[in-house]
Amino acid sequence: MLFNSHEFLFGFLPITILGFTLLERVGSRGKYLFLLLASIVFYAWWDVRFVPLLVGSFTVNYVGGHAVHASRSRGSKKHTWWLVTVFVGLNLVLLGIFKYAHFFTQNVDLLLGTDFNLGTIILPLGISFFTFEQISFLVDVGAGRTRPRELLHYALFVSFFPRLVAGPILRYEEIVPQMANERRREDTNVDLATGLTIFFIGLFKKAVLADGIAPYASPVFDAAARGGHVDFLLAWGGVLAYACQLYFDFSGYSDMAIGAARCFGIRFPTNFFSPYKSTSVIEFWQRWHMTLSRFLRDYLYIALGGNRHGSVRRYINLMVTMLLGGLWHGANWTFIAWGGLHGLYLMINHGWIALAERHAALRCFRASRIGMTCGFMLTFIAVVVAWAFFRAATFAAAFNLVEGMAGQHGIVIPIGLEFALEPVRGVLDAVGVRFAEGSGTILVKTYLWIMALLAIALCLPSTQELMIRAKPVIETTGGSTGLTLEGCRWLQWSRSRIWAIVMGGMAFTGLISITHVSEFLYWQF
Amino acid sequence: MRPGRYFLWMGGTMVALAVLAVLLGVLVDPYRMFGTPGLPGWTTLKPRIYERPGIAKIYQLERIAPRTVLLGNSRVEIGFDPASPEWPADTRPIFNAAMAGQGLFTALLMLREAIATGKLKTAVVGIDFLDFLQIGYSDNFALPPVGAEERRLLVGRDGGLNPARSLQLWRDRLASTLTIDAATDSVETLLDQDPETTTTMTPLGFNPLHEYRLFIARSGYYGLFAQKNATYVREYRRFKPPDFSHPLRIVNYRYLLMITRLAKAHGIQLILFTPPYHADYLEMLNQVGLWASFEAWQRTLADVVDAAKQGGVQVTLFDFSIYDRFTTEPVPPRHDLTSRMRWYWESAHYKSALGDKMLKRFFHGDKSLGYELTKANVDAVLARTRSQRAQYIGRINAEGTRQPLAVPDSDRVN
Repeated sequence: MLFNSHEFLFGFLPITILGFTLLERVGSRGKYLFLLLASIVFYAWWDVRFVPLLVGSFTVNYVGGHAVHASRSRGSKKHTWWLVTVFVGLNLVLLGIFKYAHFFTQNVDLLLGTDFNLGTIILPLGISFFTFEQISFLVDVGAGRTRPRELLHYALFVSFFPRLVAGPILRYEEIVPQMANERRREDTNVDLATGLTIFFIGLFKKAVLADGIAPYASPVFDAAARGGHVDFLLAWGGVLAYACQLYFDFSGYSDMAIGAARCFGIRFPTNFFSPYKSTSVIEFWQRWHMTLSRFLRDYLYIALGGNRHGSVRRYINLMVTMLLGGLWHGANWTFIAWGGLHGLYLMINHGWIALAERHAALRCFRASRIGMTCGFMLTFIAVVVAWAFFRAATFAAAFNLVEGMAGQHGIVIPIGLEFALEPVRGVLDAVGVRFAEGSGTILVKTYLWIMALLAIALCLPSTQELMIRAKPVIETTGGSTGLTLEGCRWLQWSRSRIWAIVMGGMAFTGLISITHVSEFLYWQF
Repeated sequence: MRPGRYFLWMGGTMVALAVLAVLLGVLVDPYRMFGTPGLPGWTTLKPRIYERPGIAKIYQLERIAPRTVLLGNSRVEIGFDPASPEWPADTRPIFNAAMAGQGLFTALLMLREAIATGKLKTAVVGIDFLDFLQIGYSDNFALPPVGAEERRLLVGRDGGLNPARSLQLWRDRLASTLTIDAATDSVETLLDQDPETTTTMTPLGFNPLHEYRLFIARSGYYGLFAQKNATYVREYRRFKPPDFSHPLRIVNYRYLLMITRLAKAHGIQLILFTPPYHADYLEMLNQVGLWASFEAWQRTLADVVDAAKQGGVQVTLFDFSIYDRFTTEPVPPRHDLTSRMRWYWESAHYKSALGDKMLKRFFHGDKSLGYELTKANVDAVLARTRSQRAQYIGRINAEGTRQPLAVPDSDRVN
């Protein structure tokens, strides 16, 4: 069941909110049990065969958490970390079987000429997300940062439906304590108003913006995959359209998850914070899929040694973290290449900062408006180029697109635009532009969509900034990334008549835009 | 503001917008779902109607309840205007139920629908070679699964009332009002009402192809022919020559047979015809090595129709796929943006002016265009076509006339 499906919007969500709220109003402690059962129904809707996997996973990890906690309480550090390693290993084995077994055997077959056949392995919904959350739980218990509480709350932490499909990747300690709080009736209503507002902003982003631009991205990637030479305008149009689609798809999903959780009085951390506004790749990763970045930093990069063993080890750790981050997105070498590209970007970025720190002129340039603008443009182009590898099915398709973006396949304009371009015909001929069949309508629409969506992404505040007065996310979020969540000075939501009308309009537009099932891009990860 | 009032305003806005969207969809009626009369200058032309051609054609067909129905693909949809004065009085009202990109299965469905409206007497069906290239063979023939188009029909496959229709009707009503596409298409309809260039479908189902006028004004007929010819060559090169030795293994012959049986069962007169392709198109068939298949197809068609006739079906088959003064109409030269072609938009699509000539052939016995094709004369007709072709090639070689087809890709209009 997807957030943007009719059964979710007109069935599951209203029924679950109603049931939870009624149980809360009568003071029943069964409200979280109801929410857990609802979450399991939500999971079963996708494929009932995997419910035992989910239940088994949170049960085993809960037991594991208790074992680790007991060992730590006894003061046995070595035994504690041995237990953590065993249970983390179990999680990774499960993830490995479902997500990477095919990839592994394919590569072994390629290298050794063998022919392993594992049959069909279905990737269970959300396994990448709940595996990471449970790993963070076990490590945090081992490190004494948290302790296991009620099984019901733990089970709900793992299966809570708003983040079950595609995150955000939560930490036990930031969610479970919220379940102990009793809401007053006024708070319930405020949470509902805030939650539904955020949810409908997300629905609008997904159904209107992301799905609206999607038809302009996919055909270009398909053409590249078929081996057709994709020219400069088409390649940039397709990859930029995908960059916008992914942005609004994931941003929309994150808003819907945050909004839905808030309806039940649970605040999530920020997961998405206007990443295309970044002026460096380091900043980009502080703004894009923030809870994944946080996980990779705290449980992988730092575990590998972080920056504690000199700059060479630091760069190696950085690259390893990003390569594994790429692999987490999907069992394909193109995802690893995407991660590797970002690893390279980050190394260059850190190198540039180190260099600038040693030279006053570079330091001044970096802090200047021109330096920031250059940083923004360079970051944006680098990120967009990397998306070609992220989205393309094969390396051949990705390189085809990148060559097109570099102008190696020439510049082709549909003949239907010839008339409009007559005044600049001389210039076009001089730079070798060719005209070919086609009305040009799609090309024009592609770039109009891109301009509109980039204007929204770059000029408007993020949902969290817009909603700052309603404290939309866990307040501490942002501190560890160095970013602070501040309200936008000129555009802030409040529970006013005008905002109710605006949000009603967005909700209506989002709802009537759902004409077919459109999966979230991060669903597949 | 208290949360309750906030919800009230938010919900109220949603309800108000829903009412507005329904009103807009019904009044503008971008897909002719509701049959709302057009307001000249505001909603008469329907630029977005081809987003949902199934809705437009089926529900409009029911409203018209025609005596004569036109069936086929875009060539028929563009080539015959039901409002033409060439239609005899006793054939009216006429509805053009042909749909772009659709084959004989859709023609069969639309015939079923037209019969269900109760007044049908004649069906004019365009039979296209392309249909027999695209769809393959089957030893175990079965109808395709019921799709949205079929769910809309008044009657089901068994001839009784279609049980799926009422749900589909509501789906279509929703799709024509409470969707973002319906809302934007309604607004676009209001904004795009240029009688010269706006894409539209007349209430009788005819596509006047207004949008081509703009292209022709910019690139001339030469540009349009060149672009389309290049597309056809690329498309047709993919097809393997079909095997017509066992016609009933070919799915489309099965559909044709079902059309003839349905016509016989309801006393409908069938007029079948092969399209008057422009000589460029016929040359393209030669160029991609499909001419022999094209002739084999015509022979088989004549056989199948003769067999149907002997079985009591009122059916006539006309062949317009020949080289004559119409189909060899010269294309204005490159850079000529002012000359107009009388009979063709481009090599595969003739204008309704030529459709009118064909109506004279069908209903008034005018023999200046095309042949009635039978099993007895098919070889003679094909031989004559070959001879006409030789004359045509000889003439254009002598005149040095270059048709767009002969222009290499690199030298195309740019």
